[in-house]
Amino acid sequence: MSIKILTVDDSKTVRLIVAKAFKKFDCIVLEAANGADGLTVAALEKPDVILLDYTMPVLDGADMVTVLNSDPELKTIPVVMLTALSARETLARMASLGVRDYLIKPFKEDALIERVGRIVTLNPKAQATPGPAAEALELPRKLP
Amino acid sequence: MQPIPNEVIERFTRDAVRGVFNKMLAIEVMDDRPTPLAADPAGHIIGSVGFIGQTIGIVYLHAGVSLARVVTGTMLGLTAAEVEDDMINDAFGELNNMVAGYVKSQVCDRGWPCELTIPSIVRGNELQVETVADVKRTFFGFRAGEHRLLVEIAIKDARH
Repeated sequence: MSIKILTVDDSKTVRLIVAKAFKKFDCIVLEAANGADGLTVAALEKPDVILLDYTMPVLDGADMVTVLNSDPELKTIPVVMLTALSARETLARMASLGVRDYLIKPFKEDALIERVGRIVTLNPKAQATPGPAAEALELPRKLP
Repeated sequence: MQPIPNEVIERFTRDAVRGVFNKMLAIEVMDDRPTPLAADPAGHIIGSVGFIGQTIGIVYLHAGVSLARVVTGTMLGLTAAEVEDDMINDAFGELNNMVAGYVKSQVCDRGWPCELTIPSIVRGNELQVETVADVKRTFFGFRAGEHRLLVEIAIKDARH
């Protein structure tokens, strides 16, 4: 059974980055562009983990977690916040909401996979071909 | 409450840009003079993210669309030719959000609590940002290879 990962972020770029990161694993990546849509997808699909942005239009990440926590069917879904905000106050708010983990943007793809891998077992896709080792190093490069 | 000192803003801004480019894009950026950007045949792009609270202001990112295209392709693992225009706007907005998010978080932790707004993007040729008189504007220049990036922090003291 494939792992279901729901990425909720108003940035399509972040959603694409998440989809790319888990492409090599036996995962289904579901997407939503705000907290309200995220709740709808979560209720329908019951994802194994939710990767959630903090600042979003319509319904932000903190409010979405509050609604998830109040729903007996959804409150056990682990939430990892992906946010550009690292202020102590924001981190304390996330902790008080009971989110499983958080990752501060910018982040490396490996860090994202590692955080999710702590929560669910990520199995490589059967046909997946490993990328070159150099990809994992991600050394800063100079643009021409 | 005292206004945020210039050197503090400069340190946070430079750390933010270096951190975002290095960690998210694996692209090395160097400090550069904060002079206006040269013309870019593909046009210019300006991202803006506001912060509101004890301190009020906007973080602007100014770049040529050529750099924004490289950034987008790198973020998404695409070649420059595969990058579409709407992807550039979204990716540059997210880049702006990360830079502003870092600056905002550092400023908050030092006693100037504030919240961020949603990013917005403007594209065109020969763009220029104008602000009202009592706003302090500071520019920081960066270089990534042949490309230049200009970060502008415009701050209005909440007491005014």
